[in-house]
Amino acid sequence: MIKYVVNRILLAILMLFGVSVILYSLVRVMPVNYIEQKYYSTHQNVEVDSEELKQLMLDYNVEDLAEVKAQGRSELWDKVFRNGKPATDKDGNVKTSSPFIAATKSVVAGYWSWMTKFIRGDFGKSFKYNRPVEDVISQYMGTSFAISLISLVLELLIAIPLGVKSACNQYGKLDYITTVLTMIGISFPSFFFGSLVIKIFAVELGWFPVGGMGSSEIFDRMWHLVLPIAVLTILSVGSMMRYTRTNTLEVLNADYIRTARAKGLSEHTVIYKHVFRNTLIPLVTTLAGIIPSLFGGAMITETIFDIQGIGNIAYQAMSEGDIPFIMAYNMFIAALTVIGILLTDLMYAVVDPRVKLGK
Amino acid sequence: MAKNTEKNSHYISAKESRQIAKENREKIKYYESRKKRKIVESEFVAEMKDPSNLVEFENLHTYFFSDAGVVKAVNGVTFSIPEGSTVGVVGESGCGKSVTSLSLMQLVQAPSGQIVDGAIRFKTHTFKRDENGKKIPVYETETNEAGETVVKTNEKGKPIKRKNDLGGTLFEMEDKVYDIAKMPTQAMQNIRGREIAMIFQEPMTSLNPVFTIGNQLDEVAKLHITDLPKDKIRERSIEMLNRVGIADAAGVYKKYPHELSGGMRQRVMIAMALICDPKLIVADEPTTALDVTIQAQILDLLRDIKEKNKSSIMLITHDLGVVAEMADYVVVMYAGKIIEMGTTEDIFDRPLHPYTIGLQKSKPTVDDETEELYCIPGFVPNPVDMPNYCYFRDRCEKCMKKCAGEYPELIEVSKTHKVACYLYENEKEAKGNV
Amino acid sequence: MDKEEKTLPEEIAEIADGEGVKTEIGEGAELAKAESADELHGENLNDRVKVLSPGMTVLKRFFRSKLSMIGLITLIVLFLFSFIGPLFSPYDDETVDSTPGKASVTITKIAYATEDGDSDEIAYQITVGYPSENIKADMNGKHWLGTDELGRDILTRLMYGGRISLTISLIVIIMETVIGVILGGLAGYFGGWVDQLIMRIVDILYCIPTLPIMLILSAMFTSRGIESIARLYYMMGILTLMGWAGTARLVRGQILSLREQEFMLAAKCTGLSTRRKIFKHLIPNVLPQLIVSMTLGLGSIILTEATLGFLGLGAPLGTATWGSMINYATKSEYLNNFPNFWIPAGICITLAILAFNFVGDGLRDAFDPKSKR
Repeated sequence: MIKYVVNRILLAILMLFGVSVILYSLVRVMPVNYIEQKYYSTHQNVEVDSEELKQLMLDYNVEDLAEVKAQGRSELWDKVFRNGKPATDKDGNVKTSSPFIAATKSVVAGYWSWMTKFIRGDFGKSFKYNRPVEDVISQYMGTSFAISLISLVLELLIAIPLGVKSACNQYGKLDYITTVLTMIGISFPSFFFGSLVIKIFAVELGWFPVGGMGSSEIFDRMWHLVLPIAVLTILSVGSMMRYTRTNTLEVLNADYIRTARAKGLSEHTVIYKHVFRNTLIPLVTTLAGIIPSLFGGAMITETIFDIQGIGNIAYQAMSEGDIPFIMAYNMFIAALTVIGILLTDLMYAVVDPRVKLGK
Repeated sequence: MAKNTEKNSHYISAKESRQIAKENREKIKYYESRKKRKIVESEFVAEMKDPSNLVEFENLHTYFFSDAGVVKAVNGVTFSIPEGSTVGVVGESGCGKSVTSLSLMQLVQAPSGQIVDGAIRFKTHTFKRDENGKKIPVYETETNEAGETVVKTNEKGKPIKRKNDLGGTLFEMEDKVYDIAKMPTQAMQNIRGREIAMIFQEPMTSLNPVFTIGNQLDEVAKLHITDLPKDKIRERSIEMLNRVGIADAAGVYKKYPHELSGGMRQRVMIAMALICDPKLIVADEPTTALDVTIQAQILDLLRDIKEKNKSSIMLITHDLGVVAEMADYVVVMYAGKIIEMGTTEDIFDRPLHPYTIGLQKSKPTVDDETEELYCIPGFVPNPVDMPNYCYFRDRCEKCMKKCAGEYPELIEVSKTHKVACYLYENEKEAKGNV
Repeated sequence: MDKEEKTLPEEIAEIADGEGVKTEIGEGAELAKAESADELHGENLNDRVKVLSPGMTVLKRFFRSKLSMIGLITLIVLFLFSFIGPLFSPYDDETVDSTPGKASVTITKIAYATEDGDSDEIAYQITVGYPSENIKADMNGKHWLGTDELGRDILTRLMYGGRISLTISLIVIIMETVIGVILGGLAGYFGGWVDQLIMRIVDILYCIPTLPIMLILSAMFTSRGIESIARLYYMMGILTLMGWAGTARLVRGQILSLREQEFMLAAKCTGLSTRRKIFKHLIPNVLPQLIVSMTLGLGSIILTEATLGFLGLGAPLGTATWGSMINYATKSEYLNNFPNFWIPAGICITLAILAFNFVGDGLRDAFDPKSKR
């Protein structure tokens, strides 16, 4: 058991390592002038501190690019992929014989320095918010978590009973209605549904505020969060309900359900004890998908409703090229995903007595 | 019987399948609503034809409304299970044995499978109910000073309920005959597990994998024996496990099904069936999935239990050896119909129907010197869209011109022995003349 | 089975002619001898049973389900709308309707004080503007869905948008499936380190959040100035790279479980070549699941494309895709006042996803051998 968990954790670290390599490479192909431009645009009102900019680039090991830029070629992209001339240092000396090796070397070195910092818990300072990234994430995570949690609870409360019910009356009226509703819920894109809801309930009917968080007064805040939570719930209920229904149907045809009926158990007991316990097993797998969205925020819904949650913040930071934030946030999400997978495996062992970890 | 000359006559056309689907939908809806309706008890109370019988099947029809058409899995079956006897139902796979037994339990796979016609009368020993439909407990009584019998009360003045042997509350009971084919599901749940218990064919998949054996056994006692204290329930379950020959009963009680072998699981299934001392045990191929040594043990166990509990067994099998060993009466089924029935001696010593003869010949014996085993040519037909003549005709060795005629009725050859074959028509007439 | 059935009558005749069965009733046996076996036994009862061929069963189950039919019809309509529709439209996707549009009337209230100091005097200044283009037209006979802020016909743009959105999703799903089947097949078939390597890559891809990555890349394209149609190609490439992992995992899982099954052992025993084993035995078994996942995948790609478009990061500016058209909903002016700008595109996206889901679900049920109806 312990060996298994340790094994899985090591594997998880390997996965995170892979993710970080890909993310870092992505960031490295970002054009330098882009960083610069983003830096200027986010520091419009502040006097530009070229030292600070340099430090920023140093932090992300893009300073060599800046130097290359000074030589007249602007991008690593050119350096690597377009038969760029060998990189030179300030004095014009050729650094290495091959530009590709040079680039690789600088990327590896850069990655190494980023990683050592990251492991030490130094996630960097957000360009946009001018604060350490972990501060930004922890500040806005609470709101997202609350919203996601409420809608998750609502989702489970609605989806599981309805899914089980519609499976028990397969091809019945209820089943038909829930199937259609499920499909609509699955198919509606969140942005379209959100926009429609705003248009209808906020703009036309004026029942709810268009967006934002409202004042800090609890009732007002809740009032502002009704629509986003409703949207999140309605859109996620569908797939959960369908999943429950499919699994329930599968269990309903099992031999042991016939045995349970043959004992004389009432249909209610058969379904809510024997069927449900077995349906629960595959439902646990959905845990893996829930955890990242629970903490990572619902990017689109938060953006539409202008909620200051982590999803919205991340969206803005990312579209503005806030590199430290991009790295840290995406690693955060990836770590949550990995934890989700690990938790799912552990939960399996709890729910299903047949599963023995480590086998 | 027009021969289909079309190339694809084996396949259903789209139009036909739509027609089938439409008809199926209507019929399923009708039968499903019939099962769920609320009816008064008097509507399914019946009268036994022979009071010594425990179960009487009469003209039972169980159909499956499938995509390919109506499958008449059980098509007019009439036989009875006398009290305290073992009745073997024999036939090849797919001849309707299991469906007959599932019909008795109302466990036919709904919604496609439905009991369409006929009656299954069952002599039940059920709870007396008051006008509110509640069970009437039996109270402890004592004789007071005046010599009258009065209900004993406890300190709080509440009447004390009498306990049964197991420790549960005793209720007033009465004997009634119910027609299971007409019973709503809710009333049926009172009979399942308490009076009729079933042992299934697949021990590997018939136990719920996520509950312990103990949990699944306890359920039965908890359900059918009212007010039984928890430790008594556990005691009862372990006692049953002991009774079916499980050595480490307390250990098995705590185990999960996947930790047991097939033979052990089948024992657990039998233990589960025994908890309420049912009057009838339906054993649907209880030994098919097990190896031979375990088979013998399980059969011994069943016989033992039957004698101890004085219950009846409906034994469904395709293994003639098992039937010969266990059964008092044998029913031979073919394609949803009974083709021959009688006492075990009748069937084994004087088999009449060509199919029964074939079955017997295809049984391997030790002293047989022939090299090849006999086999009945062909397969059991899929009972969709059956013609109205003997279904065995195309596989029969002794087929006559007359066999092209109507489906033969069951002919009473002797008092206990009946057969559905034109070969024996004369015997009936001869008997009639005498 | 067929062969056996055909030879049945002869067998029966043989048995009847030969040994016969000695019973007390000899009459029957004699009779059987006398008549020709075939005539007596009539037709084989199994010949009466009409069954469905496997292909027919799938088709029939599929067409029986109302939802799959609705989905299929919706898809056909959407494809016709997008690919044939523009032929009937008098406009092009970039055509600006330069007929003068609705005159805009602005009324300005001017309050002024009269000489005697009475400040209640009010005058109205009415300005009538004739824009040179027919912009933001309402829904009318000429423009069924009106025109956008540049005076382009929304209905026509919707058709052209459908072309791009549907084409993107088709191309991406095909590329995804090809890569996924090859890599998943390799992993499943060869196992060992090949499997380890490929599956670890799949795991890593699974952990990378798609939307943020797409956001970063799109932002990068914008800053690189990749605004032409090339951006669409990049986007398709990235969607493929992010999407093949799921297919690979599905194929690998299927092949692993199939490899364990007896029929593969039988194939091995009969000495089939690897190629034959893969193409004759493995692929046909994976195919149903693959078709289902492709159908459902089509819907999700349309969704991703639309999401990017909504965030203003998908197709190059000005190119009509359903995604870029729903982007109007992000601007409160259009969201509030011009529902005809974004609702039609939203409906098209929803319908397409819905239809792909219906069809995929219908196919899944139809392919499922365990399905009861």
